[in-house]
Amino acid sequence: MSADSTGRSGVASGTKPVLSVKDLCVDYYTDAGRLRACDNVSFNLYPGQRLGLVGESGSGKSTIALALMRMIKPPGRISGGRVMVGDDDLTAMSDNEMRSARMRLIGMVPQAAMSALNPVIRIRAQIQDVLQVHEPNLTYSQVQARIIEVLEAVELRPEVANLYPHELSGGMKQRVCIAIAVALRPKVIIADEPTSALDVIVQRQVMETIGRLQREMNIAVVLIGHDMGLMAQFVDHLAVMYAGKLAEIGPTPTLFAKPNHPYTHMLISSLPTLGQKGVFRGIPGITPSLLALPTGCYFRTRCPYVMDVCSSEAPTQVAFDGGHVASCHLSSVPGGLTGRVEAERDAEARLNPANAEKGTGEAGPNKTGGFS
Amino acid sequence: MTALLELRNCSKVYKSGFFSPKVTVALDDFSLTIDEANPTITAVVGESGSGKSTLGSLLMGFIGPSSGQVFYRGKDMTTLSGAERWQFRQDVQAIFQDPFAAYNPFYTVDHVLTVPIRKFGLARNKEEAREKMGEALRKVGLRPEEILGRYPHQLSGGQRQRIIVARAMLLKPKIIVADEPVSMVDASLRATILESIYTLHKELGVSVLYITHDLTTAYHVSNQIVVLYKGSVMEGGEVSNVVKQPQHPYTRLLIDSIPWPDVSLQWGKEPVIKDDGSSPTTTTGCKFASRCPHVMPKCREVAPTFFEVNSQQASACYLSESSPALAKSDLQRVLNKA
Amino acid sequence: MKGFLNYVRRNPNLGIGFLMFAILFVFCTIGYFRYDLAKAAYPLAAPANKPPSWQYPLGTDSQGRELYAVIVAGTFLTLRIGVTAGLIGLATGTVLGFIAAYFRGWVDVVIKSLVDILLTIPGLMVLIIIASATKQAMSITLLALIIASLAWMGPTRSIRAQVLSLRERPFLQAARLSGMNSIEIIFLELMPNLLPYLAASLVGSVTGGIFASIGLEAFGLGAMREPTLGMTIYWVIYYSALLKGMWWWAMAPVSVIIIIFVGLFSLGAGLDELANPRTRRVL
Repeated sequence: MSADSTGRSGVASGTKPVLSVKDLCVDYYTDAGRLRACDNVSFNLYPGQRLGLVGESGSGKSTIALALMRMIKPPGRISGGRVMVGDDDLTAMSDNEMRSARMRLIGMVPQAAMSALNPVIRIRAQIQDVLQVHEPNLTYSQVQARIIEVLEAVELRPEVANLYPHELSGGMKQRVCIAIAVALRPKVIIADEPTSALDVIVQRQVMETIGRLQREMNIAVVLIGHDMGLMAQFVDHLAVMYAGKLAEIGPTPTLFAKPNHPYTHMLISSLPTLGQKGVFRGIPGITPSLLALPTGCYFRTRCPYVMDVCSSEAPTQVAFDGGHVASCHLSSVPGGLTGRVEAERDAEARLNPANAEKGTGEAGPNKTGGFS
Repeated sequence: MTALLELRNCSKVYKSGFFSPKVTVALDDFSLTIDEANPTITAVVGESGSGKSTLGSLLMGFIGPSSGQVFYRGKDMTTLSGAERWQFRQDVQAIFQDPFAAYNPFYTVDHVLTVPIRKFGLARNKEEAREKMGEALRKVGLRPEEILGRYPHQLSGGQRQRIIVARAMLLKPKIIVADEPVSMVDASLRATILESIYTLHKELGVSVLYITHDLTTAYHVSNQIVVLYKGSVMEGGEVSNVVKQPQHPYTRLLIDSIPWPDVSLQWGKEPVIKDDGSSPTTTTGCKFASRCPHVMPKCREVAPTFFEVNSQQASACYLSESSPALAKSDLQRVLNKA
Repeated sequence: MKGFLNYVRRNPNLGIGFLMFAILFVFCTIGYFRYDLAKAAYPLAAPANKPPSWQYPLGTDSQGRELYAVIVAGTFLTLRIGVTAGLIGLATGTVLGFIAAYFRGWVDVVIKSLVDILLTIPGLMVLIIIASATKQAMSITLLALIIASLAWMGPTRSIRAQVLSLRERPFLQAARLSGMNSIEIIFLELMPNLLPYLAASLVGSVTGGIFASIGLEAFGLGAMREPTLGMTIYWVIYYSALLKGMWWWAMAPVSVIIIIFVGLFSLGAGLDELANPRTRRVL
């Protein structure tokens, strides 16, 4: 795959993963009982790779972000599994060791830049804090030089250091957060919906900056979000979360071209494109409560291709070519998901030939009715 | 025929600071007409600071214009009688951006439905009110028994937003101002909510002003579109024309920045030029000049008027100068053809 | 009750506050039944200068008051001054703060300027002047009113800020679109959301009221005949009790004052957290 505007590129496989998550479980203990917000999630991230973590709210994607930073607070806790950054096992570290590993090994770009920055402290001091805590041996002039360096890295003028957060625009604040996240040159950056509060043009600029830094510093990025469009533009691997479990993971082009989990398929086709005007394909129903999960496959209550086996057995992970893994019973059915989707599209075409002609070749499983 | 609601050459100027006030033009010479007989969905697209929310507040009567006039059924808003104001209150409703903030956290979600029923006398008794609430909720795909009696924080964002749509259905207004109704809702749920807004328009003949920064959803929902930048209209017209053949460099930049869910369609054909601040909202020139890749000297002096690119599309850019010129207040003529 | 205990575990301040007042309540109830307060808390009720003993648990003072009885009566009187002054101050402040913030415009300018000007004047000095001028007719109620006269600016300012922050919230726009008028919006939409905040502010105002009353009384500007906690401290100073080795005389009012302030402070911090749960989530 060729490099594009955000600099996404192929990944050299065979190297050692920089971030390795194995059977990660996070539980929250509430008055109503224990709920598992992250259920046996495993994935590897290689140097220079960009992984997208998508899901609806409540799918556990932000829980994973917090768990990777070891920032899960009571009543929640990491109840199993391992998180390795290079050779360091984050889950085995003491709180003190973790404090020094945070930002140094693994940085975070938060969702709300507004509340992540201290409103009464100048930008300079906020970056300085991070540098001094983690690298106490730096001299004053070295610290100042580093501050200017990281600000320039995120395309901000050095004078920004003298401003307060409220004097910056939303995009600039997010850039400051990125500067803080990369100030110690971590191996991995977790970006939790970094652009959800920004306009499209600013979003594109900020993502281009994250992409450029990722390439220049060879950092691995985990981008968390719910916008499949942004994922298509930015990440090279995609993990789809549903109700705390990993539904599907694989290279982005493969997932978009041939998803093997109905949820992935519906997420992609729920987004409007310039194809059929006025056809919306929402995903009906709501995410099940983590306290009252259905038996078998968690997605069966909303799945248009539900089968008998789905309510009795939870699907296991099935591996396809090229590191593509999905947990769906359809994988063991001849033709799989693709077969079902095509059959449905043919049926739709017979019923309504005019509509099918206009189609983008991506007829969704649940047509919610065309209007224009 | 008098229009239901008309903005005529409306501007809104904000001043901040006491001694040397910093002047911001939030909305600049804006005209728009909403007919009762011919309900439409108009998308107003712009980034933050484009004046799109100011426009929403003007239409809902929360603020008045600094200059220009707002007419409701042919009468200037400032001269409405008490009864006419009350009628206006019922006719113009809203769907809010943040589906959580629209609820008073102190009350159950029933509050947003029961209060207007009581205030506007929509039901004779409690049973009828309950029935109507249930009916409206079912229409937007919710089960009343799962919704009524709950507190806002106990429901999901999608559910909260659908209740607000149900509220609008219940009140049967003539105009709905939907200010970023899906920007804070999960992408997978957006389609369902937009669809219920569309149903509202189709079934009840409600005109919708769809305020958004997202051109894709605007393209799918609306008939006509107005692109705002720093308070001024850059381009307007029939939505497919504008989105598929954008004429104004700003519209092109917006469309080029949409993250399409398609791996083969990549970002970045149009370069993004950073705003150097040389075109403040008070400029007499084109407000997009400081970021425009095609900027010409005259752009910085006099702002271009509209040029009628085709019968259904007008662009405020000298690049379209060869097309016939159109007065600012005549944009509606182009929009009406959509 | 179980829910409350669970909550206190997360918000220990609230628990400490309640505990302090429970201790005080038990202590005063015992005293209330043991003594005839109308007599024992006033001079010549007992032999003078007795250290604590079984008969006089907290000792007696130089004028023959029984200190246990003085503390019981004094706690009640001092709390009454504080609560009266705090309530009046907060009520005035709430009304003015709501009017200023909700209607804005010139009303806001007038109220805000008045508050800002009055806040620059040193409060205790003004109180001392007023209290000295009215010294002859001083009573518990008058003292409360004098303190209240300068206790409304803080609440006005903070309530105004709270309402201003709520004012732009979309749910108020929704209420207007639902046809509610200003009065309904203030009382049915805004007020309920400020209840926890008002409770926290009330604790603050009461604390301020008690503090001011003790201060004035220690200067000898209180109601001379009443055995309030502040007046007791005045007598301790007047008779140089500590120089004479009468430690028990000073210890009794000072301990109770500490319990009251620690209790109020914890209660205030606890309610503050209840009103503003964001302080809980520190990154």
